[in-house]
Amino acid sequence: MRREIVVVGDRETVTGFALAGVARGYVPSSREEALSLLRGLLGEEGVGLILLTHRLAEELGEELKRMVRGKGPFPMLLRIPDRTGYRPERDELEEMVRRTVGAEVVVRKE
Amino acid sequence: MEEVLKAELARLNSPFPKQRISLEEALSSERPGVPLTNGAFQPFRREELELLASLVPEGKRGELRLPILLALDPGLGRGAVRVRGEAESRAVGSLLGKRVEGGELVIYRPELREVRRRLPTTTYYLFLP
Amino acid sequence: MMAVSPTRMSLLRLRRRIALARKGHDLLREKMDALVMEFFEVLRRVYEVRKEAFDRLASAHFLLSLCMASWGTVETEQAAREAAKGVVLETSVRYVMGVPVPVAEVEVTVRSPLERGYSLLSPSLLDRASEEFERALKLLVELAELEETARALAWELERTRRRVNALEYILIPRLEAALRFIAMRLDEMEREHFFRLKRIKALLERRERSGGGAEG
Repeated sequence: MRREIVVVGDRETVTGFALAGVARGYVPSSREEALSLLRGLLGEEGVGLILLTHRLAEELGEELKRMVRGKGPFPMLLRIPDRTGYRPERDELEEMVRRTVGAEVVVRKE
Repeated sequence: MEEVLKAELARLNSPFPKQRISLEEALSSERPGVPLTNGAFQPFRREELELLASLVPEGKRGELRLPILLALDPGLGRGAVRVRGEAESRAVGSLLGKRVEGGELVIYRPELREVRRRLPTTTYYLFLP
Repeated sequence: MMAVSPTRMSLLRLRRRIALARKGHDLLREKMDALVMEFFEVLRRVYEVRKEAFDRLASAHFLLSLCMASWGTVETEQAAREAAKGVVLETSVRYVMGVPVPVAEVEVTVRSPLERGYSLLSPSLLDRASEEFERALKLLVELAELEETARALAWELERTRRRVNALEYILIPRLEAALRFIAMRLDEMEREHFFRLKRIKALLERRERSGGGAEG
């Protein structure tokens, strides 16, 4: 089925993806606004992908993680770097790997 | 705890393909795939169908049923998987560059990884009690 | 310790329960092994695609900021608003060992300047930025698919591992301990029974001998 892409972040990010054809873009002005926006988007049947900047995701912290827990395959949520290229130190997937294996595993990027 | 066990075992093979279709049918279909027991539809990726077509001669494509079932049977030993069906075993054998004896093929962890990597939507796990 | 009465019936029933629990454990462990394999395969792809996608996104942002610097931020944002908005995802769900994972593909990819819709006077720098963002978007969709799949598999894996451990370290040992206890009690009872019979037999024999003697 057809679903849309939504981008949430800063102006440059929204502008950039608008040029690529992403019609829906949001620049939330407060943490509360961002949280309620995401809560809404996560519940929308027609949303296939939410692109969210790392910076904003970090600001939303645990509450965002709680919202995402137990959600289905759609909408997908992907954290992306903004124009500064900022990425957090701790990768969520690495944490998952540690829980899975019980130790830190280095994936060889060959 | 045994109630939990029973529930978990019931979940093992669900959802499961309601029916399987031949490679021939899939290749000629506009939207190749199979319905699942939970009402969903499992689409087959075109690249995988083309890969299979390259491994199976035209005359035999009607025999190969998709998705190819990979049977996990604890009786086989840990990490071993049996490919169900003669045509299917031959196809997987060709993919791995292995000879298939007696129409049956048992593959092991590294080979399974390769099969799942190349054919993620056209193979399906089956748990045998 | 499980409260089961030490009868032969309960011994049989327990044996059956242990056999079932062992079989269930083995099956779930197969599932766990397969999930681990699938998870690490997806993870490998995540790191591969992530590098490509984020590199592409970085260069897109670079081109965009160049465009904004030379053409103007307001003008660039205006062009963005005017861009022909037609990107959509074709989505479906596939299942891996019962776990639903997303499948998505971008419908419109690289569009020509005319298709993009904004004024023909727009500079080629803008075109390049748009193109780069379009390419990045395609890769990001693939990345999202992979990350979500990894997450879903990890979740199921954790859950399955808990079951396997509960069976291996709690349920089966308890059942086996109960089995040993019952077997032991049945043994004891049998021995008691056996000795009681012996005593009764000896008693009867003594009575017969003395009674017989008296009679005879």
